[in-house]
Amino acid sequence: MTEIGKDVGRTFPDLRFFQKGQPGQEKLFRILTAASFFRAHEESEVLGYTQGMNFIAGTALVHLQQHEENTFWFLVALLCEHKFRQVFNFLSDGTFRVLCFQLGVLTQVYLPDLHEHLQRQKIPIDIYASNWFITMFTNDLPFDMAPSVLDVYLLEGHKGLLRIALSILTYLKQELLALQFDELMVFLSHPNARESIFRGLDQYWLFQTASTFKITTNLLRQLRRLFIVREKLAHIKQCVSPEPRQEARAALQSEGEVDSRRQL
Amino acid sequence: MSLFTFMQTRKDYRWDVSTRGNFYQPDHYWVHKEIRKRMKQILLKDGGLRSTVERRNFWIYRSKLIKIRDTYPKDLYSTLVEKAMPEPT
Repeated sequence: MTEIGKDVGRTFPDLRFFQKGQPGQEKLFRILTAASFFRAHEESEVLGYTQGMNFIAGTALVHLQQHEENTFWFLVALLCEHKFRQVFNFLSDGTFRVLCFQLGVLTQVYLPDLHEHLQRQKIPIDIYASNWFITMFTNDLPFDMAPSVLDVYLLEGHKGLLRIALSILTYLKQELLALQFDELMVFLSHPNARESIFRGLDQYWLFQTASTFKITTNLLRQLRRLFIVREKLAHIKQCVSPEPRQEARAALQSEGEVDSRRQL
Repeated sequence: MSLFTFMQTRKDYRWDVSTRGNFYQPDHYWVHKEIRKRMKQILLKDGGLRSTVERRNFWIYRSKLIKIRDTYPKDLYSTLVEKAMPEPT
């Protein structure tokens, strides 16, 4: 609850509706708290709260005519029915990591020079993708553009998010290519650093560019499989690497020493 | 032509005003590839939905909000809010 309270204060502070003393904060707090206690079934776990939900709920609240209950059900529908809840799974084989992997491969295909630059600078994808996917771009893009992203997600699901991410990367390409590691880290991890650049972004261009990337459900399914195989291989590699072997040998030796002492 | 005007012009599209203000029939909505294609075109190429009302209708509809809401008790939201924030006695 304290986390929700803190995040509500940070949600769209520039909008009058969400400023202190305005009804927005109170409504948003109630929606998020109720959603965190929601159970899809009696046996299932509660939805809980994850950072990012505040921005999605805030956008929905404004565009659903500030209707609290409708916003709550919309959020629940988005998380449960449209499986957006899966994006908040940050485990090693969770959807978030899969999405990052898919974005990485797609960047390599559609924006090879940018991908190479980011690789050379050792910038991990989740530095920028986490903020984009978790908030569904609502914290990054100008407020009037955010609802269109929700439209696309409702229509296309994760595919739509990847398309928009690629479109944004295309837009930022020239800036990103000119930056080095330190500057890239600041630019990509802080939405405020990109604010002035996004002001010049044309919504029509963004979505039209997004539509040019050919991403099929089948392709994403195959990339998901590839990611799982890679994760398994990495796990096996870790198990058979010399370090754990040495550790195991050391452990066996110490056990042996204990046994020999016992025998004595 | 906006999405919903387009949908209204479809002969095989069922227009139902009886279900709690949800004037679209979800089961019949997405079965038509043509409508889905048009939807995609509007969202990605034609500059998005035109009005707040259009967007609200689309969200309510596409998120299956009403279907989900109807599977739970009507007062669930207020119960959850009360549970989360009990009034001081």
